[in-house]
Amino acid sequence: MKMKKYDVIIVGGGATGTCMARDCALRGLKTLLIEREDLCDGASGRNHGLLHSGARYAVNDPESARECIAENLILKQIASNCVEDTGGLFISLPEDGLDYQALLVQKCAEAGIDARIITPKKALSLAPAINPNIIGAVKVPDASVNPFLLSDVHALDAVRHGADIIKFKAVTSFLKDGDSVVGVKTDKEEYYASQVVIASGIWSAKLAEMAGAHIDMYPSKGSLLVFGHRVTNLVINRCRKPSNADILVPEAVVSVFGTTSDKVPFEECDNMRVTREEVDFLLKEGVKMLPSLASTRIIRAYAGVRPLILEDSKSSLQADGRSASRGIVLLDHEERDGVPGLITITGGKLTTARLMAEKAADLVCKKLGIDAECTTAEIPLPGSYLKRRSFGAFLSGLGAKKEDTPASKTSSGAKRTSSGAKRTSSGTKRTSLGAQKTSSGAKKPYSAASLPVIEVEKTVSGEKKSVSGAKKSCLAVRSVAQKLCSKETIPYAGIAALGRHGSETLKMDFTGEGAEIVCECEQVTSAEISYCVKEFGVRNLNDLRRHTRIGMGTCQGTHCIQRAAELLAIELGVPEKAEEFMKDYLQERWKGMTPVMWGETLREAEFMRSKYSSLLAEGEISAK
Amino acid sequence: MKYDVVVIGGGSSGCRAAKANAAKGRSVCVVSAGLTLQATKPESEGRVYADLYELRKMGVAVLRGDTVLSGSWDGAKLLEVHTSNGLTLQADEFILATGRFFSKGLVSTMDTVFEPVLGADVDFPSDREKWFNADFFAPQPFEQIGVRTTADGHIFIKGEAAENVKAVGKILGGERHAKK
Amino acid sequence: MQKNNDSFLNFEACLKCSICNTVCPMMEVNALYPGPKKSGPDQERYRLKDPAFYDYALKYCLNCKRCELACPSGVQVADLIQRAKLQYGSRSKHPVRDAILASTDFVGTMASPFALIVNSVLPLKPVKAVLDGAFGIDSRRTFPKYSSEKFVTWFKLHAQKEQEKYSKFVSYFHGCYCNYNYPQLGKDFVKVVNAAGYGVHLLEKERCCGVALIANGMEKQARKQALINIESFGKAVEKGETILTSSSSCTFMMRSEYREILDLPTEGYRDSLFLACKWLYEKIESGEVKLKFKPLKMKLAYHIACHMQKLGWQNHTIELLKMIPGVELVVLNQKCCGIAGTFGFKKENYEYSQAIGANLFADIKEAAPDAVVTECETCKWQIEMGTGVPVMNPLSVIAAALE
Repeated sequence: MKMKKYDVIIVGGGATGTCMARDCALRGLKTLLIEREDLCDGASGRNHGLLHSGARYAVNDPESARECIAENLILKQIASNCVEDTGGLFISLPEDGLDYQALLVQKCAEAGIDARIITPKKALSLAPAINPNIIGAVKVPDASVNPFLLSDVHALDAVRHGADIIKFKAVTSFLKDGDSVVGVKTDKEEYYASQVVIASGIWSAKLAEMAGAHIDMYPSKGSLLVFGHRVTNLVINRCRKPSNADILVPEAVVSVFGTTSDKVPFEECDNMRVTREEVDFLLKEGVKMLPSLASTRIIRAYAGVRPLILEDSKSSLQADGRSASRGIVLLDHEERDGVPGLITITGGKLTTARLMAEKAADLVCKKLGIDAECTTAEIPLPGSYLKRRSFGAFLSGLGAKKEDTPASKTSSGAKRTSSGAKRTSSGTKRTSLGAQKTSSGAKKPYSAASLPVIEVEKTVSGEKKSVSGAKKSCLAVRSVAQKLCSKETIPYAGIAALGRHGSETLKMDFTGEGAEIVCECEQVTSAEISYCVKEFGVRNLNDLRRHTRIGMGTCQGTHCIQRAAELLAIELGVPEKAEEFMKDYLQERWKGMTPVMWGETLREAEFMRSKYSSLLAEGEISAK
Repeated sequence: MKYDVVVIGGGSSGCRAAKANAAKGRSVCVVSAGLTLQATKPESEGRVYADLYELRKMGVAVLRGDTVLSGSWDGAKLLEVHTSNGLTLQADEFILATGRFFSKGLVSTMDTVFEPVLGADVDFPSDREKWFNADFFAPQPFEQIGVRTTADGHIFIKGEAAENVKAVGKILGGERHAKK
Repeated sequence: MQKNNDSFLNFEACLKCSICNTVCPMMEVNALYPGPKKSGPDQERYRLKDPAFYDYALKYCLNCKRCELACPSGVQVADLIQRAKLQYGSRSKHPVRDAILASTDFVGTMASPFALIVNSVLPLKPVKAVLDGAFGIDSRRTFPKYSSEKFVTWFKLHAQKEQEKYSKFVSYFHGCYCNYNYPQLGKDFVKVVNAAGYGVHLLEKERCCGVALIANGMEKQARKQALINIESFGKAVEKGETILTSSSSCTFMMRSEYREILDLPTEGYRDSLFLACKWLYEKIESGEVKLKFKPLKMKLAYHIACHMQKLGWQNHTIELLKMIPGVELVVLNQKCCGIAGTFGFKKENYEYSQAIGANLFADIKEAAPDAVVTECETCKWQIEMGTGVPVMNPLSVIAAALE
């Protein structure tokens, strides 16, 4: 099943790694992605979930800003189910003054970012929870992105185009031929490739070292607070020089506020804990922007570590790590360290993952002497469906040739391709990361026009409510659109899954027990769980969480863990492991609750302990 | 409305105290915020109304869906309590059985823990990081937090022992979990 | 900071303990209803994100408030559901029927002068069939009778002048049932209050409390009527008159729902608006009022209506009834009768409504009382239809026992 010889092996299954796997697979390279845990275990699974418009970098780092806006627009087109186009605001508090705002708007214009000044009154009408004393606001095309799903759909697409993905296996050493890297070794297997790419975030330094190359990296910890509901429906930024604790992002049905940046030792990277000082600090700062955070339930705190590079030619390092290079860093170890066959792609941010992958894949192709252009910006990812597109964009997508699909009208100069890219693979048999094979045939890249329009059925009286298509004022337009496109229906039980998995939801089976809701906070059904277990290899509930958001709501799994553990154990064919799954996930959720364990979260904790008391084997504690 | 004993809180300890007093022939009123009594144990759903019916049979007045908001004192003696439904209950003796955090017998903020009904003194670690144990399966310090009491269970209000108010149940702190 | 968690109707305090689900009468009989936990706090987080998440199955919520009573976290579950229903609409198939059922003032005013005709026509099989087929009012449902003389008319003609011999007064919110269907209740009220030494004044202006309007999505009309009532209450309070009522749902609506659902100010009168029995018991307990009862040999079963349970004043009524010599009082275990006002009249709800009440009917039949006593008139209709046992308002019992 797994070929041992590849064109390229990518080490690290975060945002960058999965984007690379897709890019390489689309270019026809024999690709292997190897990840030691589940996808997005590192910073890709512990970030703010913010799809930057680039406005934040416009003043200090115009190059980053330009990259961000280009990628922002691309991802909104090709990964529409992973991205929630919330829009964002940069608000100026009285103490911030308005000088930075003027500079921001000017620099955004220069970078091609649509930043518009709006009145404080208008800002408050868009986001009533923000500080009523703001003196200015700028509207920007920020958006919220689900990084787990983004990586999932990239991985899915990679596999559907012939790539192999191995999860839960760590690279223990590099296979070398003299100075050259020729492959990687896990505990049991050896895999060979012409090029090996390290895309492992902060762990890249250690891996490079193993291969005989050296990278100076700098772990910068960022902590975030998760609030129990959507305090606003827009991203809220503070309009000042980028600093700590100045962004709130609405995600799914929670709000995430952050962040901090502190240097931490490498050893801590595998076991991050949010400190009390960080919680107090974040809350204090957050309340300045959104006063209601002072009385909003905090359900969890988590931390991730940014991979920052100390590069000689880049800007000097400040104590807080904010000026260390966050730009994209592509290291050709042949040139740099005399280690041929090895490349590292790191730095960057979630928003630019696709671009990072493009650059790395370009280098790989150059090394391999292959002439294949990047098509990742043009082709929609699995799950994308017609979602609130303007009529104009829709029309142009309909009759246009593939070169003129709306996605290609970006300012990044993404290369246009013809549909006959030389090395696109065809006739792939595997369509999932898991063990099962499906019998679908060759998948051609499809244009936006063939995306399904999806309707959601209502349970009562057969009322239907469409969650896609044009606005009400364009009813006639929508019916035309629906006639031209394939129209699919999913039952109401699948509505939350639709928001996550997009058109992939059509593959889920909601009949019978499938419609049973397992996680009530996040509306995860049994059908969605089955689908995720089949499509993505999962080992435990923590893995399942990444794909479904199970246990990420206010009760942090108190309600659903038992049922979810049972279901998962049955799906995986190991019913005896249900209790182990439950215990592990309880412990994992507890970790995120303890930093914010007061008020309602302490009540939840007490309830959680009481509910699962039969698992607590510590025996009796005497009552006073 | 006047009773010999008013029990604040209709959980297992409150019900037990009510039954014990009713058995002695005293007039008892139980004020329970919840409808089902025994609110902290959802596993006992099958017995959801068992305590309620038993109390009624014993002639105990049960106010459900009502909470005590405050009390009126004469020095260290509690004279009457005022409920959210607008009732004033007078009694010779009061029993505080409101439970712990889940049932809001104790309320926590970022830096304190307090008893919201009568303002009883509460003992708790000042550092909130000491309220929990990082291991979910280990005994949790917050389960030991409770109101301070005299040897025979009277609560303290600002350091002074209340004459006629005792605390029973989870509000005292201490948790027992059945062995596996 | 973080001294309390503040969210709309406290939805964020939900710990997912599911106790609300265990006490919901609708969940027990209807698989289509998602239950209070989901319909309220769970989905509220989703509705904040996108209105498309609104589930029309919320129309099955009876607004019995049992979920709120059971909630250990203080989440206003039922309020969340009612507000969502008002915000997102019901897409009812019979909007005209809903409007008619809910507009009790209008229908009552129209029906009263023709009461004799209306009362004989409504129960006719062909008429019921038409109402069933064309309007969706279930043909099995019996209708309350209308009175040819409204209570207000009777009061103005026969009682108002006499009230002036008293030196202290209460104001009476009579409600629609008393006014259009059963003025005898109002007459009993006047008798009891007079016996307590108080005179009765009508409110300057009174409109239907609006509980049915809210349940049927007619928020604007409910608000209009509420404002008129609030103004009248203000005037009564200014005169130093306590406002008394005889119907539990009206009382609950005006004291609580006006604020929680309609965001109207209730502080000006809330502490002066009570059910008559609560007021009366407190007056007797304090010694201010002494009533002499003659023996009334009846076995009575007291039914605590859902909204009465929410008000929390059932013990006052129970203690009052216990004062009457000869009365054998049984307090029924509190269960929902299932009618939920206009809900039980609708064809699409009828079976659920009856299924919910079945347990209560069984309890009543087992108790075999001479009469059931309850403050709620819609419970009365449901129980009379479901058991055949006559139902009386406690005021009518007390009035009958007064010497």
